[in-house]
Amino acid sequence: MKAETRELGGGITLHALKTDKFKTDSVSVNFVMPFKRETVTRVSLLRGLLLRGCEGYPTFEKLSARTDELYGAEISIDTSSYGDVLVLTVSAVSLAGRFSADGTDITGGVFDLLRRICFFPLVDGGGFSPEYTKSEKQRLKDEIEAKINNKGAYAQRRLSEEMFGEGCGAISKLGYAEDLEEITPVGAYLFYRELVKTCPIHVYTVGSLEVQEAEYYATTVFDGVEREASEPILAHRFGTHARPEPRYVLEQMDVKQGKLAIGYRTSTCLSDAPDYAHMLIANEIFGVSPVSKLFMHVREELNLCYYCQSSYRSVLGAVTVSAGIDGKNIKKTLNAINEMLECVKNGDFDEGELEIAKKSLISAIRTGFDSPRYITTFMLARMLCGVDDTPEELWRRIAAAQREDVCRAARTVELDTVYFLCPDREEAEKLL
Amino acid sequence: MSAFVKKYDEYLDETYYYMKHSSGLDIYVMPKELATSYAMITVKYGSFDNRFAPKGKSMAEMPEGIAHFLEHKLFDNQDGSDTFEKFAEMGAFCNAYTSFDRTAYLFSSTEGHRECLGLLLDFVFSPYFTEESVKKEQGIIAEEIKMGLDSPYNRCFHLLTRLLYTDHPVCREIAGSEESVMQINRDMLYSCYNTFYAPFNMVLTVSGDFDCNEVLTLCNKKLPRLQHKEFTRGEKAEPRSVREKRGEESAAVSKPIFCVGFKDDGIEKKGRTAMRRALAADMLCDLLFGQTSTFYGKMLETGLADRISASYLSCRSVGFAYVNGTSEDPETVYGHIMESVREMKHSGIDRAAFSRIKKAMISDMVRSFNSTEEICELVADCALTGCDVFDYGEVLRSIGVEELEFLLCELFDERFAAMAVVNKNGEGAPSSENEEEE
Repeated sequence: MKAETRELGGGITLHALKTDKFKTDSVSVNFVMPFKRETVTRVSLLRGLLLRGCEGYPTFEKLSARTDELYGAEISIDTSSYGDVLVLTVSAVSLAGRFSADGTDITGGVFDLLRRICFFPLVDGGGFSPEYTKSEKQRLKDEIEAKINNKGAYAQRRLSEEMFGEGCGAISKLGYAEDLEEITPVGAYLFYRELVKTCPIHVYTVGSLEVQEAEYYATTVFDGVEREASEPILAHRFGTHARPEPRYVLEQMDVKQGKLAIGYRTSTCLSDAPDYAHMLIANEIFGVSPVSKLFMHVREELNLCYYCQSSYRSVLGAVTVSAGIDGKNIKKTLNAINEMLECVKNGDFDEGELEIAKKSLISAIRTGFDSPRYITTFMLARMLCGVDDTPEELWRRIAAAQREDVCRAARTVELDTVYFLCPDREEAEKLL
Repeated sequence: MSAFVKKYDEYLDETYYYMKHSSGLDIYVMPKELATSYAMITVKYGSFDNRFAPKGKSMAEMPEGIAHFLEHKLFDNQDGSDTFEKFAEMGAFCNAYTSFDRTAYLFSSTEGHRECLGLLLDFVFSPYFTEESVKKEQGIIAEEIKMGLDSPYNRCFHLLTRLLYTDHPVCREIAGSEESVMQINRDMLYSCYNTFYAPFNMVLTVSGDFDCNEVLTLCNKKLPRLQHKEFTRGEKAEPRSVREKRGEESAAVSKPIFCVGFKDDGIEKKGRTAMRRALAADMLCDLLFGQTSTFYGKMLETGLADRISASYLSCRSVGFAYVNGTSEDPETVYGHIMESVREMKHSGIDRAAFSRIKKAMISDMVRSFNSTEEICELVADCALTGCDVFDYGEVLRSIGVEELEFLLCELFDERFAAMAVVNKNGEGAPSSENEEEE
């Protein structure tokens, strides 16, 4: 499965994947830029600001009424990071044109809205609307502060900060409350103008549109838009070694359950075919599925937790583990997790475990390709890392992997930082 | 396959096949050309069924959380083999969940669907509980319960149910409490299993690369004979009055979270009536508090409340509409909510908004048919309510504005409203989220 690519000029590339699998059409306009601490807050603010009003639909209410008319089209704006690259995505999911029962042109309407939202926001006195800017600054501040509400994600976030320090892995894509203060309606607008004029743009369509149709509609999005041709931006390769001695960070909070977040470094990255495939398998055996080492040993045998899972952050070159545990079990859990990683490194898993891991990975990728969103993310991540492989190639590599390949990949994983959000810090300190 | 009844929906361009199996099981087959196949057995037994009487026996009261506990324990096998592993060997993924009125066992796979369906039927119909394995599970479930307590939205919602209802199981956590799960033993699990886990009390939904013949052949082979075990559910409907109008808790949150509920009449609705009421109530939630509502606009403009969402929940005799969000001043937001209701009752429903929202709601239905998982969930849900999934469009289209105005007065009645708030306890340090890469 591969998208057709067309250069539309002005640093704009279209990737169109025609498929009859879905009843929906998904379109996304992706602005690609460097991921920097200094600008991230201003980019993050655009997520809310661009949806507040645009030419023809000056209020959120009017914009929402329009999406209702387009058979409940959903327009959303989000950011995602890939190592040192940040992507601002304006996306639309709508019913395929054939579901219009009253002659409404859903496809045309959606592309028209994307054009207005991306390039013709409501402008007032040479800047964004002062009222909307003020309100969105407050909403973003609240959103940033609300991250404390999800304790597991908060622990993972804090782990990233501690682990990556000054590096891009530590930057929060949501931005920083202290940077919001100085943002003005005019400043935010000028920043935005520069960004949409110069950023490389990648448009993805997944659904009923043939590539010619996609090209026709995508071109309409940029009608009357001033663009400067820009150099492509790709994510750098990160994988590094861990610090010489692991670092332990404890934080106390009013939680019923301690949240453990462990960070390992690996030199294996998304762009390292075929090692990337081997690392996926190593991680799968280690802690992804309900038959992984972590689930079987830490949960089922030792009964230390309800969840204990690992995830491979393939652009940054990191493996992280998260678990919710009783504060008094910190040392026991940590030892058990590290012990399981050693098992994978030493090849202490049987043929059955290896086969299961390969099968479930391939199955997960195939299942992913039943989701338009996964398809877009899969293609975008690879494009940004300079990799040109299809899902079929990836699962062929997974299927071909040998035991020694997996151990070799696992041996690149080194403990770097342990973060524990705990109900009782003193107790945890004594135990560690 | 004459035993199956075929149903086709032209607008959706989708088909399902239904039959009542000789064992009493309802079977729905939805062929679909996607890579992932999905199958689910739904047992009509959930956290609402804490009290029950098997035929000829007196009413028994079980510890809270037992349905969920049973769900965990059904994965154990007598020969010591691991159920997850059996599915994983096929490259499939199996899982289960428990809610108010059901326990569901499911798998998704991209190959070997037939074998997986066989495995699913095998493990659901082979209980094996021991005192030792029950003990072992208590620790795991205690951690699951604590995880739930650390989620402030979850806590706020549960607090609301405890304000709206006095002694209904909806007030209790589905997983129970740390204390209640300690009371669960092997014999109780068998007693619940033997009462509720019979084909006539279950629905099987499969979607993907399945055909009716193979599903039927498997069911013939694997299912026990028809056993119409009668039982009485002990769940009792409550009067409409609410227990308390206000309730507060505190947690490490950045901003107070509120949840305002309007309690419905407590009469269990079935079939198309239930579908109609749920759709109409959802439409009202959207008209009153959705993104195009006056209320939403006002909250956005003034910054008084954010993260607002509204919905209608119905399950057997329980039904309520609720609005939640975050605000520094929930009491004032409550005032605005009631004001919006009064205003709409006074000036009537805007016709243009009404037809627009109907149009948008059609897409929810169509989108579900993008995924075999969602198809199975949706069809099982309809089967439990006793309605036909393909009636959705017709029912939605036939809802009139007068009907909605009548429901507005009936459902959104401040006398039967309450508000739950989770306040901040002052310990929350601000930070930001975890990013995901793919």
